Amino acid sequence: MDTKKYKNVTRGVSDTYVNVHPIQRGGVLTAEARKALLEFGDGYSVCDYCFESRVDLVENPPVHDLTQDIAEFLNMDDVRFTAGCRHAKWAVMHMVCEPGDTVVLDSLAHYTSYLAAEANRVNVVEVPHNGYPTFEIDIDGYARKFEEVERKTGKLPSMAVLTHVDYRYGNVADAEKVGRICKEYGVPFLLNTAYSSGIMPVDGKKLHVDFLCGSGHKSWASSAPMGILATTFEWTNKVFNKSTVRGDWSGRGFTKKEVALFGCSPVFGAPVATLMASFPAVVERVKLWDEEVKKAQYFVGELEKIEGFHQMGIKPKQHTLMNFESLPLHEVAEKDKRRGYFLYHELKKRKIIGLHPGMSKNFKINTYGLKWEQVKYVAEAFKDIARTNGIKVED
Amino acid sequence: MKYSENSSKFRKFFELPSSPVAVRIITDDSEQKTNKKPMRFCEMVRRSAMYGESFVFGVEELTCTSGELALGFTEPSYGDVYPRIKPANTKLVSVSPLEKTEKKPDVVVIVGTPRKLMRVSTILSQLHEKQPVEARFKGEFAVCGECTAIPYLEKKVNLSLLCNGARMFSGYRDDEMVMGFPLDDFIRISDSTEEKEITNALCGCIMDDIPAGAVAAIEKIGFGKGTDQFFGRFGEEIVRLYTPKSKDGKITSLTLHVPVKFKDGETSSKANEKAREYLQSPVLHRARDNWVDIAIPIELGESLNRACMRGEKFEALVVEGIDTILKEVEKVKRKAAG
Repeated sequence: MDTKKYKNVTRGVSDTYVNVHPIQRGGVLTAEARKALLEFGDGYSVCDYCFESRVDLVENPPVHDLTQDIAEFLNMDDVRFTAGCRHAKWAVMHMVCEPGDTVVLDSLAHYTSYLAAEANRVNVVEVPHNGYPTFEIDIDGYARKFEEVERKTGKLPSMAVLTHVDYRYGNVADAEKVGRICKEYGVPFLLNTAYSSGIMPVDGKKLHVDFLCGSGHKSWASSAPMGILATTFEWTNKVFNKSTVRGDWSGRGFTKKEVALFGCSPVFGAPVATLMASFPAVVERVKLWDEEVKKAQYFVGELEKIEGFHQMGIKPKQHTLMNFESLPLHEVAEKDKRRGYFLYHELKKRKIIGLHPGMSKNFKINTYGLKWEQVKYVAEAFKDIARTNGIKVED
Repeated sequence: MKYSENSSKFRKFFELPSSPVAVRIITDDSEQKTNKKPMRFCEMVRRSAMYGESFVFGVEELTCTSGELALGFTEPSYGDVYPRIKPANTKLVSVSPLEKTEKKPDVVVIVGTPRKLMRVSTILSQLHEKQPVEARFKGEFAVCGECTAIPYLEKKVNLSLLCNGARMFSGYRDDEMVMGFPLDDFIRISDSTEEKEITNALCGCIMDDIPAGAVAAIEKIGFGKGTDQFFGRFGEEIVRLYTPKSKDGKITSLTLHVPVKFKDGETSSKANEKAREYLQSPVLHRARDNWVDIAIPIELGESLNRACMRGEKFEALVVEGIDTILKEVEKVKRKAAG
């Protein structure tokens, strides 16, 4: 075993690079979080003064306050931290659904939504989207699917899941409408806000949400793995149910530990410390969402000046995550010895990283949090690559 | 290590708890012996498979005369025996877990239950044009002869139900069998276990369930497959082909799309309004920001999979659709410019 390779690991990307990675923009740490990362990098570092046996109840550093403030920020009642948004989805389904139940979810849901159901032995029924080119989820389809499930199984689905902003096209779904449909049918509503809460305003009560899960490392400027699970007091006891197990010989019990959170969520060091340190900036940055959308729309306009570039999904863009068709680049890549890596390398030469290596027919990109000059720089870089390779670019 | 990836791919795919064992027949004295305690060859193979032990031994370290003959250490005194490595030029034999070997093995031996070896046989048969796996065994000269000498000399995969010696003295359980492979066959099997259609997919996920035959038929027309749709250049335009699903998840139609770009949303709205006057069903159009989406549906009247099997008929249907949409797009552009 050669262990030398594990020493002095570096990312190979300096701070001067512009990162446009579709899943990384909202998770870039703030300066405060980087400081906290050094301070609390050790495994159990926030547990120095843990008197309540659960990370969410630690007072120093103020983790407990943070749960309450995040609940207020999301306009929900109660919050716990989880090992990623995926853990939050699993936990909710685990506590609310029974094996054999059905969950209705959007057909653009992240794979972890499907796997959360699978792990809980819950069936999934998908709400379709309308296909090329907008791929919009048929929101009214939720009602139809509820009725279809009831007809087939004799009972309503035990949960509806909506991906607020999908990871493929960055479409913002009408969560409020799904929330209303769920209320009408009495189906609990789980909203996956991995690409929304933390970067754009999200009001759980306004959206009629029962469970809201978010991703710290995707959208709250925190280290991974960091998930947020928010709910209303109606569901707190069920979802955050405490352990009742007793050792049959020792008589041991763990009555403060919450079952679906593995007793105490494993976010004890860097994840929760960086989430906390970034939180003040997160509260402020969601107020600037309109400006972020403007930058995204500008970027789309600029890239679509390149022949054959076309943004898929809803237009005009309402989110910073976007998906472009780029067939002419693929045609160039086919003739280039770097093949599919052509675009990746051309961008890296210009100190831009984050595009999936190997993708050239279409690619995803995220402009969240980039300064205007960076957005312009990246757009110009694409146009430069196009011109250099004989692809027409509008003036 | 050179073969560790082959070993782990094979073990993972066939859910094999033990290591494949690399056997090398050495005909000179270039290597040092490593084991002093004499034992049977079949015991060394099993210990290598189960406990990761390695051995380099000569005839003095072998306690079984069958092994001595089969591995080519000694010529038989009376008549011939089968199977055996001949001529008997073997000086040393190396036995080690495949993942730990640096030198190219001659034979790879695996120990497994009938269920595991059944799965191996299925893949083996597929790699040999679905021919049945032929095995020669007689309950004697098993690990040494049937699973080492035969693959070594005849370059054939062989199966063995083991022999009394192996079962009585070398620790093989009643539910274990042994299979021996020439190295090339083993490598082919382990390479074939890669699930390329999964590992090549975006984020490791399968994004659709379009049958491979249908993808090939569409690609033949001149489209390339993207993550979400097919697209290709026809004349001056990039045409997208999408495979919409019905409510029950079936694909019985295709749609062709060409989004046409205008300078702003107002212009595209006007162009779209104007298009109402001359674009007729089944051509679909709508304004989307500064674009007008032109689309035409192609009804297949059957599943995509079946339609694609119709070869030229399917091709003609799609090509006709492409011609139509290109004409309509040209019309939209001309009228908007005028």
